[in-house]
Amino acid sequence: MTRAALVLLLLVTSLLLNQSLEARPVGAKGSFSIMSQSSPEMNELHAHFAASRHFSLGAQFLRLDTKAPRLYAGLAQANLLIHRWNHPSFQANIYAMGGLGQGRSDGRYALVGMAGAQADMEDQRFYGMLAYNSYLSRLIPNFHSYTARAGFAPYIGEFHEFHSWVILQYVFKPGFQERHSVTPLFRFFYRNMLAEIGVSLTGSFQFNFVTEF
Amino acid sequence: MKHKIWISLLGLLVLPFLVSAEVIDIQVDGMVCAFCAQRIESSFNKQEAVDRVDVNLSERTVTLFIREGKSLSEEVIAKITRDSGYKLRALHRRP
Repeated sequence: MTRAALVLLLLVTSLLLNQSLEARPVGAKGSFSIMSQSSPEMNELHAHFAASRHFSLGAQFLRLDTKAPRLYAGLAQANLLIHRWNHPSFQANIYAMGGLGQGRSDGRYALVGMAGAQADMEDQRFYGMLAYNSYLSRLIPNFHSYTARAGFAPYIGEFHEFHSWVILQYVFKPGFQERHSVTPLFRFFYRNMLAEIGVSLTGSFQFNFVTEF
Repeated sequence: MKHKIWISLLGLLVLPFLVSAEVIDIQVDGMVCAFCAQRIESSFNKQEAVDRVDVNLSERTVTLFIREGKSLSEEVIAKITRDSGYKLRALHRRP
């Protein structure tokens, strides 16, 4: 399969599926990962164990500020690597995520479900991602988010060096006050730690962190 | 007698340099970022037979320094690479 055909396939799949900002939803077999995403509207904390290279199981803690009252939730979540293309010069992935748990909002409790999918592709210089995420509960109106990301590395570092990326992120969140957001992000990673920091064009701060061990 | 002891001690000192441990170079498909390489390094470092792991990210190669008296088959190396989420493209054992 040519690279162009693969990119097209990932784009189509992503448009049909859904998103998460997790850098790698499924780690190496037997590894643990901790991922967090923080913005004024939303906080997510994930802790996952990869039972195989295709499947990880974990927990997610969530704070969500939509137009409805604030939602707090704890969910058990499963991430599935549907397919990975390992090529000498690039890697591409399609993931699906699903979770179920309990939420609290305005003194009321109810089940919360989540579903998502992510498609990404990167080489040493360029990175792209499309994703969709949804949270369903009686406590809030159904929440959906659509994310697209494109990034590049200003320099190619060696393994033990400090790596930097510049990423432009667009998110469409129909349930939020700010439905559209564009955020330039700087991604840094060193060994097993990855951090992203950025401020949206309307001034919302975002910080994401991933580590795997 | 003293002469023989000195020869034996000298032999013990030189022996590790004469009997070199095995070195294996592998090429890994999909190892395009330091985060990916970290997974592979970590997975191989967990192996008892592996003394040291060197990663060359720009060449997408990993060099495995095997402990003396130990070995690592191609099948095991391929499985560790696969379980880390990547694909073994080529393997070369240094003479």
